[in-house]
Amino acid sequence: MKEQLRVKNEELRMKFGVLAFFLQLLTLNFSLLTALAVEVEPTRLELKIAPGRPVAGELQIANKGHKPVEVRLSAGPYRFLDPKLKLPSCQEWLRFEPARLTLAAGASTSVGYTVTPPANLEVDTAGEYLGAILVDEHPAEEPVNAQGERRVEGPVAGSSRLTIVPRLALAVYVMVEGKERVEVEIGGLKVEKLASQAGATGGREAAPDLLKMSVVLKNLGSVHVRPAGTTTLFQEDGHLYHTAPLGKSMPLLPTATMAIPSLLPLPPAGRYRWVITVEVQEGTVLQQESSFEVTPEGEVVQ
Amino acid sequence: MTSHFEAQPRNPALKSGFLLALLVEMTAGLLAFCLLPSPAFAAFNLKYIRPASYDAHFNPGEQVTFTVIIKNNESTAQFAEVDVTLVNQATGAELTLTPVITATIGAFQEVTLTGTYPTVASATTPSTLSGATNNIPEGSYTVTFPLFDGNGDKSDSVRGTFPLHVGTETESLRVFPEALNLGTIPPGRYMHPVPIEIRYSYFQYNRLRQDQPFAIRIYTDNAARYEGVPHALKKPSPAGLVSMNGRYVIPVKCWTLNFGPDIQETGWDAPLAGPPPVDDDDYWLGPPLLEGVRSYGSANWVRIPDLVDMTPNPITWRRLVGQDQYDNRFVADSNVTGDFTLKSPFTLYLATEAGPTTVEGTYVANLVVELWSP
Repeated sequence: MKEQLRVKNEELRMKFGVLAFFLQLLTLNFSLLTALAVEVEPTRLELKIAPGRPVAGELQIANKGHKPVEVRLSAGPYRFLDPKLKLPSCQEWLRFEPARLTLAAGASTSVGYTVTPPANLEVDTAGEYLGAILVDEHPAEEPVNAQGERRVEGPVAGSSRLTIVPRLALAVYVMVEGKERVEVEIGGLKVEKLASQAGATGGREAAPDLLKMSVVLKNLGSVHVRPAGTTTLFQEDGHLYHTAPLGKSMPLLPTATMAIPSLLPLPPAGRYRWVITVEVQEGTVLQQESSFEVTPEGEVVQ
Repeated sequence: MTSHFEAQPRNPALKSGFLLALLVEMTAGLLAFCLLPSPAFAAFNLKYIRPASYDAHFNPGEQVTFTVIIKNNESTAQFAEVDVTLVNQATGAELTLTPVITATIGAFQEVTLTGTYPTVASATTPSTLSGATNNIPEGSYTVTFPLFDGNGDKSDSVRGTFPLHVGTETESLRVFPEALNLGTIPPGRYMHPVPIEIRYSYFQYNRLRQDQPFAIRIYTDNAARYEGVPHALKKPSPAGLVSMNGRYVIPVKCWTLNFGPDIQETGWDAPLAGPPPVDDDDYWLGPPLLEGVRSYGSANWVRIPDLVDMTPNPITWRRLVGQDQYDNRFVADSNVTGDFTLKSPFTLYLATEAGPTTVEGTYVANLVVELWSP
């Protein structure tokens, strides 16, 4: 079976290799000349809104490509990374002016957006609404020729055609003034050893054993936060052993729980004191500590 | 005949004095050897308290601070020098940052040393230049901290656990070609030979100066185009190519290097040989399991869903590449070991399967390639 596969591999590799080489070369050359590239600033919106008062702003859109593009803006649902979360949407509140525009190569412009909350927002209990701004790139329409005709590319009868649309999806977070409540608690500290994958690296130097320190954060508030902080490890005699930023600052959405790991090479045997400091927002700091021991055999006991 | 020594007059006092002097000299030498360490011994007793620390991402013009903790295990004060050494991951150019970090560390003391260096745009300093520099040009670098003693002997060294990145924040996506003419779709499975090239540039860091997570999703957006067959009992997913009259669909599958098990499991060397053959069920449907069942989730060729098929649950998404929030890895059912990132640009291949129920006609679709970051 393996031998058959090997022979098949060789045959296909020969055939495909030559074809792929020329196709890649062709693609690369053309893509450098014709690729579209739209960039948008800012890359996400975090807004505060008062019931009954629309909020307006601008997005800067630039065409960094070598040919004109048509940009279409629309609102979409928020793309949750945690399927268990059910948070209200602000998709219907978003409007753009203009929602469709053509940008010449190298040009940039601003597009206005308006977030209009519904009149009954006050009676809703939610503190935050989520959505997304979808910025689509399309090839610009061909200019009208001398005969007053516009060349429109479409599929030939019996043929098929796929239009490829690059889309930037910008996250939108709308917090309701007066209902934003920030409350985060540390749900636990866990230390464990991650054994190295010795022998699995194909002859390369084996990776060292790692110490994984995880802190669980629970958002009990009504709006998202982007927690920051530090993890600090002290030796038994009080000397500082290690300090590092705490994980990464994903949005911790309301009702969500997030475990943020921090990795470092397994320290030498001994007892350690681990102090976690989390800055939930400016001026709100949480701190908790735990201790654990690394045994002479390299085991971690919390 | 007497020897020369025998001819000398014997003097016991002189002999004892000589031996005593020799003994004192040897003791003093031994004491000096033990108590006053030679530089060579000192070098081995100047150590890092691991690991070194610095932040990951910077914009040109910002300052990078490196912090190391060094302990002197000797009974006398020692001079220590740390040369922060950066190696550009793209060009291989090696930079030693100046001024180097120096200190004199007391006996059995440990000290925390910091060095701060400005970053500059690459237009100011070429990224191919090697040698000593007092600023860090744009680029991505591995970081090493060799430690030298007062004699210039290397005493210890640690490596940074992640690269240092100096660059301008960006978020862009380029796809080529903008449209793909598939011609007449042949019956059976068919891989379209023209690849789609996807270039992306994603560099956003958060307030911890670490990477923001992101994903590039792919899906068709055919809901407005697809109607389905009138009076049909079940309306299938509009994912794929939709006939011009909106009634029929031809599913589309895609392949990148991220999809499917590796050569160890499949025997197919994808990095060298390209996309696996569509005619082989092992790659198209999934590797065989016992009793005729297949591991459908481990197929190399994976279905492109439609926007209406996807829910907020990320398991319904089709991600081409992505970067997880903590370890820069994604774990998917077809890629259980994680690592869902591919360097830009990467290529995407498409394939269709026209079965016995496929209806002749002209088919079209919008294929969306979406960059998302929360």
